[in-house]
Amino acid sequence: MNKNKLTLRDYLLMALISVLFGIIYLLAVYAGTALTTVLTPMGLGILGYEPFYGIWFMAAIITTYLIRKPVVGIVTEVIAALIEVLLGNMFGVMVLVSAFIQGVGVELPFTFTKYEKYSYKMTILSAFSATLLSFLWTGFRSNYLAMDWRIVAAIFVVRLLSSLFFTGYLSKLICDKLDEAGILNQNLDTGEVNE
Amino acid sequence: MIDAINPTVKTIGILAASILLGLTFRWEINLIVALLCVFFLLTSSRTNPATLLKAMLPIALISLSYFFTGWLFSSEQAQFAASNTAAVSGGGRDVVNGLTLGTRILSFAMLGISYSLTTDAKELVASFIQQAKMPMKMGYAVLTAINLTSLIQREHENSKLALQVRNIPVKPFDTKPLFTMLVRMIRWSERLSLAMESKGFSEDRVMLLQMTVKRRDILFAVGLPAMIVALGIIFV
Repeated sequence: MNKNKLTLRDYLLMALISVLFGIIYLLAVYAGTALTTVLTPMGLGILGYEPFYGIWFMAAIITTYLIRKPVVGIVTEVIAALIEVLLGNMFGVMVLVSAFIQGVGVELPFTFTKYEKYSYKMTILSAFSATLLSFLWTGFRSNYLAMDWRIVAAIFVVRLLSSLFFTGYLSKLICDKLDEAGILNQNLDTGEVNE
Repeated sequence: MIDAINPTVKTIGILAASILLGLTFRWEINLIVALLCVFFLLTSSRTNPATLLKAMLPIALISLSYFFTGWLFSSEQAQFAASNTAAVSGGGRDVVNGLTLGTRILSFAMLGISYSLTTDAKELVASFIQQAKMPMKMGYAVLTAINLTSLIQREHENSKLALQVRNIPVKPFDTKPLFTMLVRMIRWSERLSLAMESKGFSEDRVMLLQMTVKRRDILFAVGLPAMIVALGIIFV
């Protein structure tokens, strides 16, 4: 396991990637809002954002893959949330809690392999644990106990499918392509300034 | 009023208030908290009506969608709780359940925008570094990214344009421009860190902006959650 402290370059990479994904998140928010509007009269508006939920975990898994140090996924999610809050996110400080929980969810499977394995199996496990933890948190926030169990089950299934696609498959595919392009580890390992 | 509260203390106060609000299940409490947040926003010099209106539209839509879900798909447990707390019967219990869920999301969102629209970015990062012991590197990385947001957006558009001039179609969630941008972000992080460190950036950096915690900040951080606890006791 790489136990070196996070460097300024690591933090900058996490912050820049967070902003980049902020642009993608915005597209997902527009799409989710449109879907929510269509589904609201049927009482299914709560499912509107769920097909895009996996996009919110992508920044954390990509930086974990790129930097390969402990807590990178959590820090990335928190930085992304902080940037979202400062740009006026409507859920404000609660986004920081959501981000921390999502970061833990994304990172959890990697801790068991000491941040050494980055296979599809790992990213799919990561997608599953992020979905599970985020589901428990949004369950508390949105009081799922007050809803019909079929709606709650639909929320979980749609979120899991989204997460498996965006986090488990697409993020890994992008990272592998970055690896093939030859800009990964050797680039990030050279010239690190450790304090 | 809320503008002057220390950002770290404001974070703690609003976070505690939000968690306590999550433990209450009464629409009356949600509505009181939402109205209090409207007061915070109207008395803030950092919030302009146009921004507030723009933020309120998605909040109203999401609250409405939760109302409909709570109304049309309420659980038996929720109906039982509603019949214990309100003089309603039959379909009315579902409406109360919908109202509770809709106002719950509304109050969370109102607390959220009371925080995000009334907090200055530089003050928040300075306060997190000084009071919450956030690493200097992390704080400045956040500020750098915020300052580069419009540039990153423009570069993302350029990446899409570069593909389009080669007659490669770009769909809304296409990974091709994203891939180009990720390569650029790796390069930028390397160059920016070199630039910052060559100018002497380190954890020992002295900050011009000094944030302090005053008595009124503590009063806010304790008062807001205490008010929600008190409302919870009143409406039991």
